[in-house]
Amino acid sequence: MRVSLQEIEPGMRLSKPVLNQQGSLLLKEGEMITPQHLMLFKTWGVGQFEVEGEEKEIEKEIEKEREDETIFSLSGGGEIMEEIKRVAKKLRATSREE
Amino acid sequence: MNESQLKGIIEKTGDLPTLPVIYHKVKELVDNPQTSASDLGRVITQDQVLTTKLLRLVNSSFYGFPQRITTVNRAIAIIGFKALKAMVLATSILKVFSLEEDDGFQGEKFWQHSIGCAVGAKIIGKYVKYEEPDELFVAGLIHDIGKVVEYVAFGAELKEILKITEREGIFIREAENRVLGADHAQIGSLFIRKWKLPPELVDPVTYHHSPQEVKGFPKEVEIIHLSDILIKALGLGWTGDYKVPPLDLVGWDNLGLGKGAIEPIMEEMEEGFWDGISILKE
Repeated sequence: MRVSLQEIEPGMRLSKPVLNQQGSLLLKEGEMITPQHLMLFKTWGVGQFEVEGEEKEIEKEIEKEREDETIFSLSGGGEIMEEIKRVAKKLRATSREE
Repeated sequence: MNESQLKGIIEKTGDLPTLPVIYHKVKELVDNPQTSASDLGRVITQDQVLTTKLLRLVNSSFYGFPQRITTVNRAIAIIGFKALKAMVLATSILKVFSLEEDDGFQGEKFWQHSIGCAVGAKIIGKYVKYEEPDELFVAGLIHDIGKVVEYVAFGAELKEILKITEREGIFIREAENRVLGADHAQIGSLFIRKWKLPPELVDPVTYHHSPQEVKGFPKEVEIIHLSDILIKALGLGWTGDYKVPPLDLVGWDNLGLGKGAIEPIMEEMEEGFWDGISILKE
């Protein structure tokens, strides 16, 4: 996922190398970010990073939540459909926790 | 759909696979009143994959026997001839249409949706006291066969259909109509005729999105329509559709289920979904 200089934190791992504005390599793909690196990025004026890590999971989670809402956008209303929605949300939420 | 498009589809589906010999053998035996369990057993044991799946099925939570069933003849005696025929048909379909993961078309998850719909249909069948629940299982498994036909015969068009569906947030059948001039229900219905299956299996393929159009309100159509909606609502499997279709209320009333049945049915479906997949997987 792409993060900005404000969002990048020590402990995140790079999924793409970091280059400075001249295109020279500052840090290789796969490296773990340290507080020292953050200073370096500020100095070199790098603003965007590609990182892996648990943030991705959070994004997936948000995606799932949104899916819960949007999959029913064309299913119409009515008492039975409301019940289907209620049960589906309940079961989808519990299967996510497992 | 105009006539030349229709013709084109039928011609193209000429290249699609037919059902394997073993299905026809089993069908012939089951339809013959003289047949015994060991006659069928002899045919089944020739096929290692079928034997494994049959034993997995009879030992699954769907039957729930306390002790393990280890012989084919005993398994056949337990599940019955009709269920056996349905199982052989289900396995044959999955075998002849084993789908590769393609960019856009998620073959494995597509079958998961179909298996989920099949499991759901059988569960709903139990709630409405339908006489042949195993037939419902097969109907659920093949209800979206038109999408498989599209995958095999209209690869490029299907990619376009999937893109339009996702981009515009519409139902896949609208995109299918736009690109192919027909939807997967129509295409599946045309194709499935070649298999000479009974109307209980063909009607759900044709009408699972339009149960109001079928004459005589056959329960099978309404059950598959409902099961398809429920499995989509549970978010299990993949269909190329990102939206849950509306429920046909006339069909719902006709099934005679109360609102209170939704929760236990969906709970059983979620559980049965994983059992169904583990029974039918290779």
